[in-house]
Amino acid sequence: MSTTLQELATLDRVIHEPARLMIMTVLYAVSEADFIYLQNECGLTQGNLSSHLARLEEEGYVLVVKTFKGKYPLTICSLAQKGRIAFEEYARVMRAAIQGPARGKL
Amino acid sequence: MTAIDSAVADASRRARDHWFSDGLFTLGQSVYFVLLGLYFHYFPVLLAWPQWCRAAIFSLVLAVNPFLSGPVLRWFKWRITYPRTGYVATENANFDREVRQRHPEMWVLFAVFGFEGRLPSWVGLIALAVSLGILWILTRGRFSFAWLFIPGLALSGVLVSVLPITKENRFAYMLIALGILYFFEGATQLFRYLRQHPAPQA
Repeated sequence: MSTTLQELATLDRVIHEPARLMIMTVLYAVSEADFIYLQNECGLTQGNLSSHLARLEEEGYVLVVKTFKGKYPLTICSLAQKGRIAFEEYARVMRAAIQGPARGKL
Repeated sequence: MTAIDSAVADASRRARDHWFSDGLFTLGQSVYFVLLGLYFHYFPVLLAWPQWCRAAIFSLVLAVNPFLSGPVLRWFKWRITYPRTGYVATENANFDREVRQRHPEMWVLFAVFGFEGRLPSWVGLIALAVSLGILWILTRGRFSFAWLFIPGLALSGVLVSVLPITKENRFAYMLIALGILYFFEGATQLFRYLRQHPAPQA
């Protein structure tokens, strides 16, 4: 088994789930975003987004702060340092898999 | 560039676009340009005032811009934009540079207006026409509302040159015209935005 293939097997399963990957991608690109923005960007339902955020928060990848702005509840999400590192590692492995030495030999 | 890299770049671009999507920033700029234009219009009156007074008023006018695009804009965004399409903060250190790039016409026209105020009206008009032509060729499709700005400023340039307006006032009136055009752009954007995103149920 090649090293790249072995590395693929170590992909972070928490991030690898499509909805969570979308959330992580958005949060990686910004410094912070609220629940409504994430919902609009990822096209997820409220319940779905909530459960995926809870999973990411549990893993320590995402920081969630719940406050109020006037009469509106405000849930601010941002990527924790651990999440940033995990996402970068995930992206590195994916890049290696796509651009790796096996390319062009098919 | 892999799919993941382009997804990050796209998310970053969309987050920055979100800041401009409601037209509030442009409306703020319109107020600033009208104020700046009014300052230059009333400058001859201010000449009778002490120099420190003139400097203070000019500083105040200049300070309006960061105030409008800072706390005032945020106040409106928390009441109009964020409850509808959400709040996002970008961490881009080059954000200010991007804001300037967003309105490239502003910097070209500043130079042209200043230039026009020191020339006979027909020379100023030609300078404006040439500048607008170059601006059109260089930026067509790269900034929104070019269809409004280019004809609008051309018309303003013609009116300012044809009407009996003193050289000194031409600069002021062109700034006011720019402000009015920004107002139209901002108001149109805001109207579209509010139609696309109705107020959420509390």
